[in-house]
Amino acid sequence: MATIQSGPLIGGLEVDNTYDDPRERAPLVLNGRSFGDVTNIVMNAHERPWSKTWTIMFAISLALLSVLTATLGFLFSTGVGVWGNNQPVGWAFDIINFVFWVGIGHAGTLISAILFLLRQNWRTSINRFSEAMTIFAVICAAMYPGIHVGRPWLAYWLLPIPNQMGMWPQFRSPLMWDVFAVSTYFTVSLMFWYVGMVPDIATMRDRAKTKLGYYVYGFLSLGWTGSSRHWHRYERMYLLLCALSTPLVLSVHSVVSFDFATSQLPGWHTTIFPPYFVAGAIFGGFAMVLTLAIPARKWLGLQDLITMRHIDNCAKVMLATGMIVGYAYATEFFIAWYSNYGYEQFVFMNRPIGPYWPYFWAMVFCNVISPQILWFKWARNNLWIVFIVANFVNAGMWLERFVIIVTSLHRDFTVGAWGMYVPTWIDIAMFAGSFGLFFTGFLAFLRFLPILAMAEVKTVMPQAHAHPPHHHGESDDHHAARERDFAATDYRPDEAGGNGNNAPKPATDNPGDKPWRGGNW
Amino acid sequence: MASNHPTTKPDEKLYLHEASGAVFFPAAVVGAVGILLAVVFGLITPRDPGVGRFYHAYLVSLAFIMAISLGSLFLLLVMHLLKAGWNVTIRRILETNAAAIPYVGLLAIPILVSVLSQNASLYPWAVDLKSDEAKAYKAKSEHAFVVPADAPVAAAGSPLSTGTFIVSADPAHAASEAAGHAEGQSKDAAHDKGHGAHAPKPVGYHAKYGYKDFGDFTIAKQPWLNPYFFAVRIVVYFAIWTLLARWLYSASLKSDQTGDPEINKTLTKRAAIGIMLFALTVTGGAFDLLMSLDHHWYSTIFGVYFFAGAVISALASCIVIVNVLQRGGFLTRSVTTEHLHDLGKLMFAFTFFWGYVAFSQFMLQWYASIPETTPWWARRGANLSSEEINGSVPDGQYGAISLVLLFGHLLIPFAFLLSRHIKRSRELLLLGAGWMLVMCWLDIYWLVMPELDNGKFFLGLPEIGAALGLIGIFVAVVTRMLSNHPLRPLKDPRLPEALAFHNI
Repeated sequence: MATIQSGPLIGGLEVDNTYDDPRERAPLVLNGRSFGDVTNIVMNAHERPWSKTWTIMFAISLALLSVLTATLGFLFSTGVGVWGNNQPVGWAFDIINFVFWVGIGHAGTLISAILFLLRQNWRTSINRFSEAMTIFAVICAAMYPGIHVGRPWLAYWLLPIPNQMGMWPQFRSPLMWDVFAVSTYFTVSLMFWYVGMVPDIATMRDRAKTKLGYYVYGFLSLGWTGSSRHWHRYERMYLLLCALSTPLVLSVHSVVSFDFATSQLPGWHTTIFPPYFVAGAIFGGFAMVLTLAIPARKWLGLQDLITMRHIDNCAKVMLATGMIVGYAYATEFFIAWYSNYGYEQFVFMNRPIGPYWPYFWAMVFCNVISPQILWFKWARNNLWIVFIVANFVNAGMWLERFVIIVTSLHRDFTVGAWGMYVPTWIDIAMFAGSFGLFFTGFLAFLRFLPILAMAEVKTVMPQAHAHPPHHHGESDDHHAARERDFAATDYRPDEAGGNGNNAPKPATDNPGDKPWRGGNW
Repeated sequence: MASNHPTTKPDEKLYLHEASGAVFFPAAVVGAVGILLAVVFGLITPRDPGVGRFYHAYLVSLAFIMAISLGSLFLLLVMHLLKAGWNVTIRRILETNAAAIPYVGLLAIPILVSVLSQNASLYPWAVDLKSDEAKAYKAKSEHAFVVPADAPVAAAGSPLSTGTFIVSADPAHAASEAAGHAEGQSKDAAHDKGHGAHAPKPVGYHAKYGYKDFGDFTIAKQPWLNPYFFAVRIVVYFAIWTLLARWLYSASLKSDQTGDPEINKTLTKRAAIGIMLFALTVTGGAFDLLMSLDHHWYSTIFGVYFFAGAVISALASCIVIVNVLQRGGFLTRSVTTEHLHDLGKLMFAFTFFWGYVAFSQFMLQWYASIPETTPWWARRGANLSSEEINGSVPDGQYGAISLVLLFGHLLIPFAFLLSRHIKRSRELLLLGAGWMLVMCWLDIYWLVMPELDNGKFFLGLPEIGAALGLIGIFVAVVTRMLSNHPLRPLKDPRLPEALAFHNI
């Protein structure tokens, strides 16, 4: 079972629950925590006095945010000429950063929606802050098309608003589809995030120490009492939002990839782009999840809830999606040769040996080579290694968008029109500033909202799955018991129960009854 | 928890044994008759347009049973990799489907024969570029932009002298040219390697040799697309698939004896390596066997497209097999509505995924509409006009089949399988699975047959014979293999989890 191991970990001593024994599922909440403990651990992050770390980081984020505001002001007052974009590279940092940020969001939706449908119980500890990450990443992303239009005060023209001039956006343009895809994505993600938080916000309301907190959380918790009917509605809605979000995981980044792939430009026009972009988005998203989770679990004392197994699983997902991205790179190169299409072949040779070769090879190192170390369990169990690889991947996914966008554009069909792209300091400051926007939002979330889905974590604890004695024993007819179980509990709000407000179903004496139900994979 | 290893339920049969005869013998007979039909009407008395008809018809159904096997192999790999618990009771069926892959490999021999004998009726690039024909073709095409009707034909008495070649950079242009002149026009587009480069697609066809493409595309792609390397690759793919399937199958059978948890750990490790080999070989297999039928066309997503269809066919076949077994009183307790519900959910998900991949492939090539890739779609009626393509008018039927796929492979099953009620009803789920199997076959038919004669429609005895034949043989093989071992793992450590599984 769980053993204490020491090592060069960010958090010092860690409980190792990453072992695999096919006979049982590893625990996802460690140190025998009770439902009450879970609530206390999560609420502690919110209720304790403001820590120095948080304050310093928030100050840095605000500083970066003000850099963004200042550069935006400069951009608006001067024009997009302050950027380095110019023929032939008409799309550069604005689109690179747009794709970078919108990609990061995908891990949150994957964890919340797809892993829910796949019954991956370990998602419960990381879904909340991943969804928050999605929200703030999409906000950062959505900013870029808005400011790239040149006249941002007319950015609402992106939307098909009926007007007396009869002017409509070009519906056949993938850029237009992007507006719909990203706004749908943002709306559904926001709803999903918020609906999931309602029971936990009710807990915050019940524990609020100030009048203001009581009213604000009271308002946000929508009168949640934790009744069976509330849980029923809640779980129905949650499942429906999962079903709605699942295609969005595919659609958003596919539509982003259409921005490039519908063109006839060599290097952009390739049919594998949609799934390749989606895999890359999840890859980069998980890297960001790990980048945020590894320090946060330490600072906020969440090691019993976001365990080594969660880190291990995230690292595996990152490795798998990284391999898919590597597969897409290889396929693209092979087909570029196979197509016997000279321009395509040129673009693909121009990437590794053209003037932007350092970007290409850095991308290959970050995205394909560096994650290979995650094949080894000792590496996945070393938080420093995972953290460093995750940051390589963060950088690598940014470089990937740079390589795709800039190298395909800078040497086009006519040699006389070739050129190089160099970002200006405004480009760079704005990109740095977007991190300010992201982290300001994220740190505020850590401070003011339930950072972990308490109610959901409780459902994957063994205590939630204790069964009445008559279901016990292998002498019982399993089938009949199962049928009875099902008939009676097609929907079982009691098992999902347990926020601070409504008393969870009390644990019985035998929490280990069916370990596979309460554990992971 | 591990103490408990339920073996059999009182009213559940776990061994097929001689009961398999009820399926094995009819399937074997149907298989033999089907192959006979295909050989007689496709090969011995060739239909229009020659022996290529047989090879194409054969390839359709070969790729279909290959898809069932490979889809099952993928599901096994991913389930072992993710340490799934719910699936143990249906795993043996997937294992058997996957372990049948070496037999599919044996059935692929006719394809290799066609390629190695440089009978270009299946793959137009399967030619000898050092032959006299090739030299004559080159000599002509270097000198003439517009050449007489027998342009590609040099030596008198060459089998190609009966054929007419029209090769053009522009389909519409070629069509008008062809209408204007009795003779064809050859404009070797491959001289221009840039945007103008376009698939030369000959119109003529020789009954025995089919099209032979000696053009620059064949020369340029020769390092990859040459008969010998192709044959080596196909053998390597099947060897890797056999290795993987057997690796998983034998370990699982060993677990029936011991129930050793270490076996499951080994399986997980094998699956991690296997899934990468699988991705590479399935992509290669799809590119080689199906995409290279038109070696001018290319699509980077093609491997994923074939993979998506393969997983659907594997899930659908698993559902069908479970139903057949349960009707015979087998696995009645172990595999419950819950497992079928999950199989249905996965089938639904992959149907959607297939639609996503198919849409991505079609929409991107339709939208960009570059000459390299449009003829492939035009042959499937997926162009916007009914204009002639490269001198021949495609029959409308492939356009109709494209629509059948849109509705029958995506939209209708999507709506049908959306319902929880349907996924939990044995009869309705069986209907959905049977339907999806037909659609998956039709999908591969749609990939292969339009390449036979430039968009001319073929569906007759050779196609039906090959389908009955290969599917019959596949069913017979799988039945025989199932009868040798218990129908589900007996002592897998995760078996209790699978037996107790229910959806919330």
